[in-house]
Amino acid sequence: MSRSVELEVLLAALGVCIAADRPRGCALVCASSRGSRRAPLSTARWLALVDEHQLGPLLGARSIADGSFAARLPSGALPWLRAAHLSAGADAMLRGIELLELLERLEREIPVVVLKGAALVFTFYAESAEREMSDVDLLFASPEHAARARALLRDRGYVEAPNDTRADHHHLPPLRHGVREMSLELHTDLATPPLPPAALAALFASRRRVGLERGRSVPVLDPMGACLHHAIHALADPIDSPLLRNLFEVGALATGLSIEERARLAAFAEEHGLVGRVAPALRLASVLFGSPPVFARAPRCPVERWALRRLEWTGTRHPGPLERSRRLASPPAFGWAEVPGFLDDVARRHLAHRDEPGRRVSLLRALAGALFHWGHSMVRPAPPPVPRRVRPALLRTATVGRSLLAHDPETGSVHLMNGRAAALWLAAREEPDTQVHIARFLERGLTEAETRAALEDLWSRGLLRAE
Amino acid sequence: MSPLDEVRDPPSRADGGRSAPERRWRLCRELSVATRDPLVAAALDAVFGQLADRGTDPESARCLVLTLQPSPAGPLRLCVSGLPIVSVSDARELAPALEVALVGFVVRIRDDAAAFHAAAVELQGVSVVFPGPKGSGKSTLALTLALESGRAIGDEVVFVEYGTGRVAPFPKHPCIKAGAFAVFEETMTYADPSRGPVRYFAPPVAAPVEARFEVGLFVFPTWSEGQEVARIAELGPEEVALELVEQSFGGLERDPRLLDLICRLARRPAFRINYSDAEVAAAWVQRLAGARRRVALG
Repeated sequence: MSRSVELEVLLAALGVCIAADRPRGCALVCASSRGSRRAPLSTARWLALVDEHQLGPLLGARSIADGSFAARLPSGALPWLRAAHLSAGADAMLRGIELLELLERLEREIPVVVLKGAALVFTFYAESAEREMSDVDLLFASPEHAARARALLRDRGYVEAPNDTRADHHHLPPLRHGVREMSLELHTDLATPPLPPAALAALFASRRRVGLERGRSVPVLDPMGACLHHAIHALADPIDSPLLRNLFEVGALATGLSIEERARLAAFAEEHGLVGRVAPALRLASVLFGSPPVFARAPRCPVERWALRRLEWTGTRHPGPLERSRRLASPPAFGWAEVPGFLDDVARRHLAHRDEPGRRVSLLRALAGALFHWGHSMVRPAPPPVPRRVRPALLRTATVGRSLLAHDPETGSVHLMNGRAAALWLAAREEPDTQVHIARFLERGLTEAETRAALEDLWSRGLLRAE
Repeated sequence: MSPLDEVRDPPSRADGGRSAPERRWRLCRELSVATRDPLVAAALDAVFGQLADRGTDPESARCLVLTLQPSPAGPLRLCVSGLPIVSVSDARELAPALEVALVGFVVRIRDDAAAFHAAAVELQGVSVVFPGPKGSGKSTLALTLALESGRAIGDEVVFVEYGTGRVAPFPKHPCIKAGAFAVFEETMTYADPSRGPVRYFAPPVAAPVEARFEVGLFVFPTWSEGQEVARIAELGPEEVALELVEQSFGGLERDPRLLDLICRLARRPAFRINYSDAEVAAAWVQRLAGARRRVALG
């Protein structure tokens, strides 16, 4: 499968970060930066890929450490990379200190293991600022331990954030501290669907401690366990998570394993029936970065081919203002250029729950789902009318001037309601029947049309919900 | 030879600064930072010189020890309590990096106060708060006023206590970007990968950190080149509230008390000022503060 020149240059740069043979790696970056014969490299697109996969801080840090590395990155990219790195450093300082304090508190009562990015900061990355992260993952030996941890963290101001985590998910609904701006995910398993209990217990038991200064240490999975965990997760959520960074970390961890550890990893996965969940990411990392595949003879998985296409996507993290307004202003026209994206969507729906027996989606059903989604987005149906019975959304409100300032903690949105809107919203607390409101506001001098329009406005903004 | 050159190769740096005396800066009741490294100390003085521990200050709840990982040439890696955090190319990038990281740290450990992206100055007994996004000119305007006759209360972040609604000073040295260099006297230039060249200025008079100030007046500045005359517009409470929501660190998710606090603060007199000449704008702010003072006294 051919890759864009931007992706080739990015892969070469990441390969340098992994490879021990740095002169060869630097030559790869140098050769790729000149662009291919097909098309010149677009720095804007290269940066879009870097941002998509959250690699800016890492590349920014490495460009400081190695001037020859920096000189071979696309021209004009360095300031953005440096800024991304510095911004990540600001977050990293508090996160690191807060995590150490939380661990100190938790470990007085319960064993815990730090997972994923928060662990890699201590075991792989040279400094915390190289790794952007939105939350910290902690693993507990049992649901009872996780519940105790939850109580301890609540005492420190962490509260449940609104989310749609399923009941059978491998981690509890995340906890968030509004002031620290930090989220914690408390894991009772390492993946969904869950690992065999014996496998989970073995991984927890083999955890190790990474020593820090001043006699402190951090509990993490051992190298084999970390590689296995990252390999399972790398392809678990390929749309919303930074896939290339996930695969980079898998490649780095696999490269860091000794021959003995690789053999142990293969045996462990065979013993517990995890080869199919682990091998695809390891093989992809091997293709991209030359890391050891570990499972050379495992059958190929369709998701691998799809993942290579997904690496080229940009803009999934945060569509730019132009794209956002385009999507809002008019339904998308379906042209031939949309076909590859449509087929990618079909593949994503089919492959999304391939490891979960109760939730697998057949190819036909995936096609139907994708067709419905595209058709629906083109037709632009009218918004549903206000139902007969409504209730006000749960908002925090305060009076300012002659208006009501409202904050919806569920969506994060902020609204300023004028007197009429505020009166209607408040009235819905006492009386859910909108016909009653229309009658009452007629008495106050509003026409039926005016009251209906106000109700529609509140409904469309989510300030009124169906009862 | 610049002051920075003098500290770049001091004799005590050869041992990583371990033989130098430890110095502390008390950033807030909850946080102090300490270091023996002369480069780190110079950077902290550049940004937080007003907050240097006087030796009589009470202990903070937490003290972060800052060190630099030894590097024979080139990059410096900042470590906090032994954790490697972030690298900078050279000593000129250290002050901006520390400013961003430590301001962010203080914002995210203060549970007792809201934090707004703002500057603040006390003029004629009236505290004036300048909320605004990056590039709005709030630091330039606040520093101009502080140099004239005011007391600096804060730059980049202003803390307002939930319980009292009063401003708690955080007198970080104002940071001025290259576009405003010509307004002030020349001083050491640092390098910030995000903001470009920056300079720090120690205001002649800073508000004591133990003091508390009622918000007398909000001024929302907008700097734009070529603005021939400063334009002033009074804002209603609804506009002020929405602006404060926009400029609050962490938004309304930070704390349930923030919404009420913003609505209380929104009742204060507030103006928007569009300007290009800092001295002209400063004169207007002085007039507004004077008018506010007369109302308060009357």
